[in-house]
Amino acid sequence: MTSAVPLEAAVPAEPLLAVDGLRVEFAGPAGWQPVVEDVSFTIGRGETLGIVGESGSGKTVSSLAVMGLIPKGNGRVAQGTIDFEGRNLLELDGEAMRRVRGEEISMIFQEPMTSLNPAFTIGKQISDAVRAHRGVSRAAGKKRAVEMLDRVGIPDADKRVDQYPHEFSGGMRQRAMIAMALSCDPKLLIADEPTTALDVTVQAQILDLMRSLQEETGTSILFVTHDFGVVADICDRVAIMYAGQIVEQASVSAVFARPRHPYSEGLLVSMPQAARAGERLTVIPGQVPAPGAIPVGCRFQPRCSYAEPECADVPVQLVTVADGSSARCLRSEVVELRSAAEVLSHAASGPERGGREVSETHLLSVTGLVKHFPVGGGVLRRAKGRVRAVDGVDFSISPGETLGLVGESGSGKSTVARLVVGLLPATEGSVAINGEETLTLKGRAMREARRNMQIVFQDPYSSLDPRATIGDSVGEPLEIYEHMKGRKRDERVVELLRLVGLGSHVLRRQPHEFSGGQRQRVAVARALALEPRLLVCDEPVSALDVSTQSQVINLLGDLQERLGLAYLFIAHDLSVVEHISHRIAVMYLGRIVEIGPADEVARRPRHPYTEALVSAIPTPDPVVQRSRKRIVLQGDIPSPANPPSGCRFHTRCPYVMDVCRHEDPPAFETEVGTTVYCHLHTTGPVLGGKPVALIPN
Amino acid sequence: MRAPLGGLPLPIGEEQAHEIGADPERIESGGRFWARFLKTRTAVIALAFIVVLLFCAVFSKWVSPFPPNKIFTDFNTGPSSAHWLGTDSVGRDILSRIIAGARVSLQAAFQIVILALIAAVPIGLIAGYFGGWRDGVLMRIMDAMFAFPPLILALAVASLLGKSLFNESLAIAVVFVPSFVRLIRGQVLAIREETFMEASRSLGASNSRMIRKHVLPNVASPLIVQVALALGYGLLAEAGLSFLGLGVQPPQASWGGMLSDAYNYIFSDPWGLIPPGVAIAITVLSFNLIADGLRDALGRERFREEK
Repeated sequence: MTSAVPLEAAVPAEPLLAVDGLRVEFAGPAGWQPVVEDVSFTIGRGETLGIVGESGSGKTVSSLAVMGLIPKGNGRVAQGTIDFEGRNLLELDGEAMRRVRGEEISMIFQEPMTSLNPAFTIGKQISDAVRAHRGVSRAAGKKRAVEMLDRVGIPDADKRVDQYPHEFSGGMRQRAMIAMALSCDPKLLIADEPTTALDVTVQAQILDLMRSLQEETGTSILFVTHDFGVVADICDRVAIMYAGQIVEQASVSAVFARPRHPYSEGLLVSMPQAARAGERLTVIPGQVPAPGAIPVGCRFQPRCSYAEPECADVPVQLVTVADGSSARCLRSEVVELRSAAEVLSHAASGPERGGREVSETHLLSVTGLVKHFPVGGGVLRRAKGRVRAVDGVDFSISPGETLGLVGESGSGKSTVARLVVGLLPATEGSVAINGEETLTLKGRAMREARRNMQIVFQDPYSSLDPRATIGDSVGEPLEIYEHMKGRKRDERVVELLRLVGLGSHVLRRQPHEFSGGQRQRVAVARALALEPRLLVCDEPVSALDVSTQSQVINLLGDLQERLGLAYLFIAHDLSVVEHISHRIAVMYLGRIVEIGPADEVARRPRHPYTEALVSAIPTPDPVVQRSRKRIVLQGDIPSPANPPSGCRFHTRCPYVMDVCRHEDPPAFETEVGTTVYCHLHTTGPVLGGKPVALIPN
Repeated sequence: MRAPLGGLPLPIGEEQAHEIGADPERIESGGRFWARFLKTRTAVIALAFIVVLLFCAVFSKWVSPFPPNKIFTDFNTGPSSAHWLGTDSVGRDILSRIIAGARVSLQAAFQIVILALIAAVPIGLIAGYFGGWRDGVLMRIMDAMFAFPPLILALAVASLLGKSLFNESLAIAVVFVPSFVRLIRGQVLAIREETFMEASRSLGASNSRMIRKHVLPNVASPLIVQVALALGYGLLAEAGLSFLGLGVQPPQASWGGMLSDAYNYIFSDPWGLIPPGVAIAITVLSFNLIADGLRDALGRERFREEK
């Protein structure tokens, strides 16, 4: 599937929605605190406005205010107007606002898993929405539901309309949410991070869908996101929010061609795509201020590298800086900020890392690793079938090396992580560390082997015991292995905390006092306590904001350099993995489909699945993003309980051949050091190890 | 002990360390629990009442105006300056008997809950943490215990072991065990799925360490709420059994027993029902209010209070 989207300089036509001077306050310990202040924006008919910001910037609160969904009691709109087609929505009573919601403005949310009611069929939920506003018959409502599901690309819509949400995959549910949101032909669709919880391949599908529906219906979209790549892909104009204010507002092309606020530049340059491979990422120091601790002057000034003393004195106003662009910065005329093209060309200009010297000694070797989960059923709990979560995986990691492991959710990457550190028993295969087989170890020997490999988990909010102090959490391995106690333990914990950039004063604090990035540092400190040789990182940065993500990635890079650690780095975000890894392995449905040097895999993919993954990551530059050839995979990853025969990717592969349906692809070693499992290299138009992109059309 | 690797530790970005320490805005000290609890006025009043009641129960000898079993010539009188709450059917001072009965009631309530916890905590932890066949067996036993009518059980215990306060408490405690076990097991099942449990296991922590250090502290707060509620129910159950004559034996005062005595004169002299009835109602209500206050104060500190 190829689609090229023209990038037009969007001029806001007659505004559909005009928000002016919005101020939203929430009840805090010290009375009402503003969470959103002086926010003004307009959306024209058929236009897509992106609201971009990190968590805590007020982007979601602003969109909820438009929907009239600020929770009463502890939240209120204190100032401003929200003008929608000539009516001020803030003056409407409950009943009138209810009619606006769904009928004229509707919303889709981040989490498609929880925003549908599990107790009703998809069709009933859509038809209820239609009937509430249109008062049509039950039959007409259902007809509309089928029509809408068909329109959002759900196959066999007339059958699936009677299914329940749990029978839909994540991507399908988000489609169903979109169908429901659009069922009454709203004039404005508010999309709050609609693709954040989805895989990149599915994200590409949903963005395409939203774009084509918008072309058909002329709906305006308010698109809330934190991802500059997504903005470059779908938005016409952007409002960038920081600490409750809009700091820059401009057309997409203008923002990327010349950002006018240092925070916009900061968001761009802290993306992993902005740094050369292996280089430290640019970091916005510090973190977003809490609502009670907002600086008096420019709110970004404490973190701004262009700040002058006068920036801290008085609040800064949003002023027009160029045609259609405005920025909240005293120095926007003085400072020349980098464009997306400059940033990306800097990243591309670096020398390729090449394959790292593969040392003969392997720190970790995994061979023929298999994990099947029985699918239980029946009174006697006899296994009915098996979920082949991991189905024959081989790789090795040298000391000091990073192997990145990527794949969609359901590909088995997290299971591999748990098998390697022994959190799950393997069904078959071997995991050897320093030549010593660990899968057969038990008891004390297993615990000793564990010292060498530690794991950092994805969710820093649940990986620390909420009741334990930071000192207890980091000190736990010391107590278990070294029987350290009291002051001796604390001294060592402080050393470890310093190693990850935290001060000794955090020792007696509890996890809830820390932000996500800080908690992840604590988790890293705990994993390092026993001086392991291998750190398994299971999506360590996926739950973090862009600027925090770059801080943690830099920390991992520094630690590797200093301590000679090896990483098994698991992520679904190929750009993060490409940045940090020496080699990359790509997994699909429990198998590795391609493994090789990072540059080769990420830039010259040799397996169609890798090519699709690479292509699905939006580039944070609208000019590049809208002109490049993209491969949008159809459908979802099949169920690992019943994987397709032959090559497992054949059901979604754009280059599928007859042989793929019956025969397992053999391993093919290329001269650049990549191993790829694909028939394209041995049959049909024989690639013989060349990148997939070279296939003649 | 191994030698430090690569000159560990070297601070990374020491210049940044001060800015990435704990965010002062997020700092919430351990005293916050009490601060929040003290804000719920009803719970504080209820707690004060229970404290006063406990004081009276413990020091009843000095607090009560008369010995509880002293018989005066006036019987079945209403409140007067000599007898603030009047006298009962045999002429004993009701206020003194209420104070003496408080001792029995509170002692029973705490005995019941402690006995129930002694059995329920290990059972709940084992069933929830280990799961599998242990869970199956233990929970079926709990189901069977749940099905027992408390009255019949108390009668059986009383006839087997004799009528006494402790035996009565034991019978009620047996009935309380399953609900505690279910609560604990449910909490443990949820905690077992948390990543920090997996993290701890990946560090090689033993089962006993995981239960002591991670499971118990996280089960504690819902359990404390349940304990406060159970104290109220326990007191009520004790009063019920005493009313039927299965608890402490006359002439020792107990609230249930007093109700039972006064019940015989319900049409001629109903006053005697009011003091023990009110005492039971207010005490049970107080325990419930304390439980509500605790739930509000503890609840917000649970997992993922922010995302």
